[in-house]
Formats: sequence, C-alpha cells, structure tokens
Amino acid sequence: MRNFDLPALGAGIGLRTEHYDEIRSTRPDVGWFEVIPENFLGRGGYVARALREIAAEFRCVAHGVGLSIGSTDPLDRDHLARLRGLLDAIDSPWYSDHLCFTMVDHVNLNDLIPLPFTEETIRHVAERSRIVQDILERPLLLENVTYYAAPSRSQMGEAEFITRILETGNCGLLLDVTNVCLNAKNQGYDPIEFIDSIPLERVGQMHLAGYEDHAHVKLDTHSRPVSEDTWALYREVLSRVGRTSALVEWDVEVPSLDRLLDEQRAAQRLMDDVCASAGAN
Amino acid sequence: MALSDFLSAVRTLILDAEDGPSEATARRAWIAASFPGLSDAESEDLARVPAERFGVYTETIFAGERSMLNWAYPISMAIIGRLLFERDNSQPIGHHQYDLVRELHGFLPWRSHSIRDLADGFHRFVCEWRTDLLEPWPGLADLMVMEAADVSVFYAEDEPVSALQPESWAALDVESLLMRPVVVPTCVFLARVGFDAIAFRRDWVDNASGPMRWPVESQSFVACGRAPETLLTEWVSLDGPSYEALASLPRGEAMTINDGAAAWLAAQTEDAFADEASAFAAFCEQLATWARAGIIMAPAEA
Repeated sequence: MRNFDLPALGAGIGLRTEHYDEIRSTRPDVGWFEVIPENFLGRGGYVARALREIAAEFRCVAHGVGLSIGSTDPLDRDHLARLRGLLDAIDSPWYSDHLCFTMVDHVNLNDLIPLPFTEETIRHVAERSRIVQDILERPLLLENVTYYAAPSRSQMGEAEFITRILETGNCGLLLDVTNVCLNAKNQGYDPIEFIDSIPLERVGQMHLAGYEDHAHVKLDTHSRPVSEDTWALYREVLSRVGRTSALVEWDVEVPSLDRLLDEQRAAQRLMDDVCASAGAN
Repeated sequence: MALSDFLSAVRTLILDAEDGPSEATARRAWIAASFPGLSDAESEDLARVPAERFGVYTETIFAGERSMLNWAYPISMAIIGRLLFERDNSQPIGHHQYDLVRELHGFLPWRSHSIRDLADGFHRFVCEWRTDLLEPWPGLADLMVMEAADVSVFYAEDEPVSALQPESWAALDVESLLMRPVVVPTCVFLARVGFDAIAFRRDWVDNASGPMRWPVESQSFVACGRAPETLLTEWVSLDGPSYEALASLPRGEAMTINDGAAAWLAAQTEDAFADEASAFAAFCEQLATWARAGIIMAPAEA
C-alpha cells in the first residue's frame, strides 16, 4: 500500500473566502483545493454558489474541523448525513479531520484538544472511525495535531498511539508536517525518529504551514509562510513516501492568492525534485 | 476510570479552572482533589502539564470566539469594546472583549458548531445578563438583532426562487404585470427599530474611529434580502405602510404581484395618493427596489 491507496494530487491550497472571486475569474494552475465543509454545510447564497462553481472546475477534497472523533459525546449523525451530502456534491475522494476532541460534555471547545494516549482512547477512536467511514462511504484520514499540554502519556508515546489508531480503525493519516516539527520542539523529540515510527504507507495527504515562535512555546497559527524546518522535514517525508497530496495551509492574515500560490508552487517543486531524484513516480 | 472523566477534566482545566498551584506535589494533590474520578496515573499526567500550557488553549479558544463575535457583530462588538474601555482604559479594547467572551462562556457555553448559536447566545447574554451594556444606548439590542440577521440572510439556504426583472415590466400591460407570480423568500428579514438603522450603520462604517454618537430616537423600518445577482445582503429602508404590507405577506409561497399590491394599498392611509395611477406608480417603484434587493422574487419555475 502507498498513499493509503489514494490518488496523489500534488500540491494544493486551502479554499478561503478571500479568494473565491479571483479563483473563479483567473482559474489558477493548482492541483487541488482543500475545502472545510463546516464553512458550507447548511449554507446557501454566495458561498454555496462559489463552491459549486469551483468544485465544477477543480478537484476539491474536504477537511473537517467538527468531527470531534475522540469525544465521548455521541457522534452527531445528522452532521454526518449532511456532510455525506456535501462530500458527494463536490466528489471528495476522501475525508479528513483531526485526531483530537473539540466537543466534550456537549460544550464546543472550538480548538483541537489532544487526546490521552491510552488503550481506551484507541478502542474508542477506532470504533468511531469505522462508523464514520461507513456513513461517509469514503476513506477517513486522521490528522496528527499539535499539542501544547502533553496529554496522558503513561501508557504509550504519540507514534505508537497514532499507529495503533490507524491500524485498528483502518484509517489513513493526514500527516501535518508542521505539527510534527512543533511537537518535536515543544515536547522535545526527534522529528525524523517520529516519522520513521509511524506507518508512512498510510499517509494519504500532508499539511504544510507556518507557525509562531513564542518564548516558551511554538504555536501552530497558520499565519506565516511555510517554515524552513517544515520544508526540511517535508523533503524527508517525500523521500520516504514519494509523490502524494500536499496542502499549504494559511488561514490567519490570509495573503493574496498569488502569494499563497507561490508557497504551493514551492511545495510542488520540492515534490517533483525529490521524487525525480528518487526515481519515484 | 473512563475516558469521559479525563476529557472533562481537561475541559475544566482549559475553560473553567483557576491555574492552581505550580509546585509539583501541591499541583498533584490539587488535581487529584479537583477530579476524584481520575486514576493516580492520570492525575500524575495532568499535574505534569504546567498551567500555562493549558493557558495556551484557553487563550486560543476565547480569542477565537471573540473573533467570531467580532465578525458576526462588527459594529455592536466595537461599541461594546469602546464602552468597556471608557470605563477602564487600563486595558485595550480587545482585552475587554476577551474577558466578556469568557464571561459569556460561564453564562451560556457554546454547545454546537454553529456560529449562529454562539452569536444568539451572545445576544441573550447582553440582553439578560450584561444589561449595563445597554444603558448608554438601548438601541444596541436592536442593532445586534440586525447584525445577526445580516449573517443569517447571507448564509440562508437557497430557496426555489429566481430574480425578478423590473426592467421588463414597462413592456407589460397592467393586467399582465399584476398577474405575474412573486414570492417573499423565507430568509427576508423585516424589523421596526427605534433609530435610523441604515443611516447609523453607514455613519459607523464611515467614521469607525471617530467619537461615539448615539443615533437620535426615531422609528424606522428596514428590510434585508439577498440581492439576486451578487447574493450579498442588501438593506432597504421602508415606510410604515410598506413594512406592514411586507409583514402581512406569506413567506416562501407563490402569489401574484396583485396580492402584494392589495396588501400595500390596504396599509396606506386613505389620502396617501391623489389617484389610482399615482398609487400604482408608487407601488411599482417600491416593488422594483424590493426586487433588486431580493426582498421580492419570482418562484423558480416562473
């Protein structure tokens, strides 16, 4: 298995409101767009029309923020049913969300809160992942999140935790390369050792972003160009997984479409270079 | 112990708790006492996390909710921030807004992924809990309703309607025009407010950094629709009879222009127009304005 048996779409960018009109008028040369379904579910008008028109011309893949796969609140089946409709409408080949919880005790934390690395969490997330994939009828990729507060680690480390969830729940991995860099710095581990400890054949997609370097912690802000250490680790991952789907995230202080496409082109060039030298397709 | 207890403890530490002691032994004891459902190992794990690391999430979560409320209530939140700053200028406006969002969480936690729910909760919070914010200008409550409506209309799910073409009406005889089918979309918002709402919103945008001036009291009527071409929200000022007429029309149901005209005429005073022709001309003018703003549209099949 390679790329979790998903198509390698090359480098893409996140679809952001600020760019809807320009994308429709200029039709930029970009491999694909990542769409946040929560920005469209239950909405009509301008945003619905923009998505319809863009999805008609470009490959779009959905990346959610509201699944809360690790929550102990019941799965929101109404949300999943609506989500399924949107994924079908944009013909999303897979669906991704975060390996975290955002809702607990029916309160929305509005952030990606890390889960404890425990056997119970693995069983819980794996079971919910299977249900989600049954409802959505497409592969689910779970994204490794940044964690500032190290969750319960007394039973296992992050790499084992992720690996066992992916294998037990039969999920793919959305490898956020920047999050690996940030966790490595914030938690003090070797990022290369980390990527060599996870099942890279399950990497169906990658994320690349910029972060902010504060005095005591590095923050995953998506507010900057892709960081140098992210590019370096991306190169390392590419040399192991070959051609794949990589997405540049820039969600705060969103730059012009041209500036964002500069980053996307850099991600594509690096993918081409690494894969050409490795003789990979 | 159950995963749910652990996640609840994390939630509490992020959203609700004091920082607690920082010294290791005292922190372990504090965590164990605060969350008796946790095992010793789990208490140990949580105690090892410095309070400021949980604080990173606290800051991100409430700052994120502040951003969403600033987006949903751009003018109201600016007014509230400035009101709070006038009371205590030792902190910047954004800090006051942040504290207010934390207070909102205590009053009414956000329980869905819908920004509309967060925004509705904030309106309730201000009107029921922080009524001091309405004392300088009670119209703020209406302004918040209007700003929330703007978001609702913009995002409203599509309805089976299409644009009317007022420019084509001149070619029609009166009877053909009156028999044309129309519909008031369900998303259209109508309100009667105690100030000139449209002028106030315009003035605020033009003079955002100028001194705060409350609008003079004056009853006004407004409607908000979604313009058929751009799909952006469009606010229209109404006179009293037009407001009454639009409010009396069914939503989302096909009718004829004649039905609209009858409702509009019924709302007029007897001496409003010199003759039938001038009344009809005035109605057509109103109708064209409403059509351009998406307040009146054609059923999709027409």
